[in-house]
Formats: sequence, structure tokens, C-alpha cells
Amino acid sequence: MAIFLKAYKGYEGPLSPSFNRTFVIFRYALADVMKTRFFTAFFVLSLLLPLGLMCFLYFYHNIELLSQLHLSQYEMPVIDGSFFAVFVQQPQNALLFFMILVLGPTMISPDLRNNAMPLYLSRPITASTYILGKGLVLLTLGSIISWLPTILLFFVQSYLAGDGWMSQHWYIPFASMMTCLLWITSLSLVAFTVSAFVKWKALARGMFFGVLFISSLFGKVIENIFGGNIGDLINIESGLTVLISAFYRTTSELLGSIPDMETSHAFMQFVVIGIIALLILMHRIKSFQRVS
Amino acid sequence: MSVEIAHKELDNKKQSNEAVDSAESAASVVSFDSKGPPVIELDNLCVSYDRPILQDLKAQMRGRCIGLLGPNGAGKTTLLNTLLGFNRPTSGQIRLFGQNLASNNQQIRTQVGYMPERDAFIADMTGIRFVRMMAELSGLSPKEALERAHEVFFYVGLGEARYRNVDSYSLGMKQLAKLAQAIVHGPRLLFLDEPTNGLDPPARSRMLQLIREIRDSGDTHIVIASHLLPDIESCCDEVLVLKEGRIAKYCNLEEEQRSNKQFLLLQIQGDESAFVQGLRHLGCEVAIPNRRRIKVIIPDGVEIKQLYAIAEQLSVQIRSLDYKRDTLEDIFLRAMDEESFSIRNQT
Repeated sequence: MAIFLKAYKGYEGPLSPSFNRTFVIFRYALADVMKTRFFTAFFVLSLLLPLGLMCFLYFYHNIELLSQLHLSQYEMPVIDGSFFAVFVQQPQNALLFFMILVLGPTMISPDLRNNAMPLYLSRPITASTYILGKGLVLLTLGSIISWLPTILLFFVQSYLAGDGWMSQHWYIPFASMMTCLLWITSLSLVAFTVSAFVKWKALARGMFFGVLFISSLFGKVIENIFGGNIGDLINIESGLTVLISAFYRTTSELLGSIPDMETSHAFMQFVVIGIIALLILMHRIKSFQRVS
Repeated sequence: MSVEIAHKELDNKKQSNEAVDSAESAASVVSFDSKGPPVIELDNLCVSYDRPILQDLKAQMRGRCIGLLGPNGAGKTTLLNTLLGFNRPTSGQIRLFGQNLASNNQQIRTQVGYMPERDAFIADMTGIRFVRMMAELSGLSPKEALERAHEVFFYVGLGEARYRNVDSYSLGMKQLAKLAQAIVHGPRLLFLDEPTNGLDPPARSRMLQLIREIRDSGDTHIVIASHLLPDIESCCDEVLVLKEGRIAKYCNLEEEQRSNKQFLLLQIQGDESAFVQGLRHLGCEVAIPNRRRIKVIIPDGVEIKQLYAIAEQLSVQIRSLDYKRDTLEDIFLRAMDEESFSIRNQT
């Protein structure tokens, strides 16, 4: 149908494969996120952390420069799993939390508020395709500011340190990737689920913060009353500390007190939180398609 | 026999015939011998939540434009949602273009367009981006989607507003944008839920004109759910009337109206009783609702000129002669009555 003809005509051309629909949602959602100045600024600033750490690694291995500054490597922290856990992973966890706090509720709640679900779901996509498309945005952006720079730092450090440092610390990229992906996925699903129940972004952000804060608080209260590590199972922060400690093979005091919890339990804690959030979210989204 | 009694008798006779027809049609699959395979097939379709919403629907719909009618709560929107695959049938099957909806849901959805009743759009998007995204989600390539999004915006008459945010559109513009997203991928089957909802008369007329054009393009079948009978009458060739979750009537509008073609309303001057007698001689059924007006049902084989011949013979002047065709409202109201009549009979 040409514009000047202004007549209706069907479409008989080729159709894209079904997996492509996920990337359509991803592409549009990513463009929406990146068009806000606030997020662009945050995104750029969050990349300053790996940049600063890269500079640190350079100075650390530059003996001449250190001697000019009257410093020696021995006065500085050893670069190993503990260093990556404390100075790379922990700040990244905070950045990821902030990113998901800001972006998570803006992904789904506007679609629900404007009754867009029937428009999406009357097309050849499912509720899971929709969630995956939106989730991929947080996963991609989160990866860019967390485990991908860590891997870069790992290779820089391996190059500068030499002498088999890489073979001794091969677990660091794996630890970073696993911890970040678990953290991003579970937080994103919780944020999506909360925003599916609240129409206003600000309120959804408050509720997301509240859910995590209350679960931590509740976990600590249970721990104080009943003892043992039952409370830690509810506290997602405890689970994260246990995973960092296990994956990075560290018990550094700088991580804070490490809860007495099995790594498998901490891992399951994230999986269970993710599954519960996903089930609630799917149910909620499917209920919206019947609204019209 | 007084005039009133004659009129009542005529109406009663018609009503009882219709009730029999209705009971017969309820017992069998409702379909027409129109050309082509059925677009929508409902096979003992039942949908329940906490209570039954749709009960035992059987129909084969072939129409180019099918109207879904029914009072509030009759199950129109539930049927539409079930046809879209949003609701899962409790029992029974739906086939669209011969494909089972339950097993080919994703495939069928590439051929379906949907315009919901309520405001529905994606926030913070320009009209063109919104429609382009919807086209891409239906499977068009980004380039093709952009091209068709522009075209469809001009087609629905929103060409000048396509770069404005959808949030800033007026109600009428939002309705047109919803139509644009529903047709951008050139669906074979288009579901429109109350398309003229909240529109002022010019916008309503424009919307109906667009629907008729899409219908006449021959590329798309349309299903319209509405409670506005004139809208359905002006666009649809078939109507499905629902009442309390059951099919109260499914008919081809033209055939239904044609079947009442020989129902005449005459205004005469002269010897009324002699003229009526003459008509009865011809085998016509006659009723006199008021003075100088005569309702006549002409049997097959009798032509209008024979009425003029009697009038001439009796020196009666025929001042006016109108074909009284059933309006959709008549059909709808009769369907409502028939349904309650047949239910009463069954119980």
C-alpha cells in the first residue's frame, strides 16, 4: 500500500522467525532506557569504577612509579580473589541494585498501566517472551557494568602480573559472572513482579526497596529469636555474601560477617526467589490480557 | 373478526413459526451455505471461570464481516478473548482458517489483528514508533514495518500526527491509532472490540468507513463486537447474537432481511373490507394495525401487480406501498425473545 494511494492492502511478505520477537522487545526497551539522560549519566559513571581499578593495576605493577611515590607493592593489598570480591564485586553489587531500582519498575508497569498487554499478547509472542525481552535489557546493561569489566580487569591483571597468575586465579571470571548474573536475574524478577502490582513507578521503586529491606530485617529478627541460620535463608543479602565468599574463595573481614550457610543453600535461595517472582509475574501478566 | 384480533393472530402465527425455527437451529450447527471455507469454527465451545460464561457454542462463520451482538454480560468480550487465545476453553474447540487454535496459537496470531475496546498503547512512544513496533512483533522486518507504519498512519488519517506521542492523542486519535496497529501487518482476521466507542459522529462515520473499506479490500475478515446496532448493520454481512453465553441467533443479514421482503405496509382509500377480502382470496395474510393502514404478507407466487389489479377492480386507491424490511434491531429483539421462548419451552 503506497502512501499516496491510501488504500488498505494485506501483507504477504516473509515473516521473521519467532525467536526474533524477544529481540524486538529488547531493542525497543533498551532504546527507551538509553534515551533518558539520567541513566546515560549513571551508566557512564558506573564505568569509572573499572577504569579507576585499571589505573590502580597499572600503578601496582609499575615499580618505578611506585618507588618515585615512595610506595611498594607490599604496602598494598594483594591482588587475588579477596581483592576482586571486596573492591570489584561489592561496589558492583551496589551499582546493580541501584540500576535495577531505577530501571526495573519502568520496564513493565507503564505497559500494564496503559493496557498494553492485550496488544502484545494478541501477537505471536507469549508472556515469557515478553518478560525475557524486558529482562534482557537489565541483564545486558547489568553485564556491561559488572562482570564484563571484571573479566577485562582479570585479563589486564593477568598480563601485568605474569608468572602464572592467571592459572592460579582462573576462578575469578567465573565467580564474577555467576554472582552478577544471579544478582541481576533475581533482583530484576523481584522488581518486575513488584512493578506488576503497582501502577506508579515511584511507588514501585519504593516497594522494591521495601521488599528487600523487609526480607533482610525479617531474616535478622528470625535469626535473633530462633538462632541458627533460618533467618539467613530469607535474607538475600546473606545469601549473596555466602556466594561471594565461596566463589571468590575468600573469608576476608572486609566482606563483613559471613553467615554460616551452605553455598548450595545460598544458591537455592536465589533460584527459589527467582522462580517465585517469575510465577507471580507470569500469573499477573496473563491476568492483564483478559482485562479489555 | 375485529382488526385487533386479526393483527394479534398474524403476530402469534409468525412468532410460533419463528420459535420452531429457533428450536431447530439450536439443535444443529449454525452455518450458511456461503462460498468458501469457514473462517471461524466453534465446536461445542464452553468457557467457564467461577461460573459458565459461554455454553456449548456451535457455529461455522464464513462472513466477510461478522458482528458480535448481545446485551451486557452476554459473553461478547469473553468470546473475542477466547478467539484471540487469551482464555482457554473449558471444553470444545475453536478453528480459525481451519487450524486448531489451541495447537497452532502462535501461527494463527501472525494472521490476526486486534483492536481492544479500552485505551491501549505503549507509553512514551510516538505513534509511528508504536505502530512500527507492533508490526515487528507480528513478524515484519524493521524496514518493512517502518514503511507500512507510515502507510497505515496515512490510511487511517493520522499522517500528520504520526510523530506525536500517543499519550497526547485525543480519544478519537487513539481509536485510529489502535486500528492502525491492528492492521499494520495486514492480518487475515481482524477483531475489533467496540471500535466506535466514545467517538463523535464525524469520527464514528470515518471509523465505519475505514472498516467497510478494509472489508471490501477482500484481504481481511472482520469480527466486530459492539452493542451499537447501527454500526453492525452498516458494516457486517453476518451477525452472531449472544444471550447469556449462548447463541441466540446467527444469521446472514441480507438473507434475513430478504426473507421478509414480501411484508408490505399499505395505505389505502376506499372499501377497506372488500380490499382485505380480495387480498385474502389471493392467499395473503392481512392485519390492520390502524385505520387505512394494512399489513400484508404475500405468499410465494403472488406478485405486487395482482394487488394493484384488485385495487383497480374495487376502485380502491393505494396511496402508499412500502416494503417493510426487518432492521437489525428487529432481528436482535426477536432473537432475544426467541431465545427466552425456546428456553421456556425446553424447561
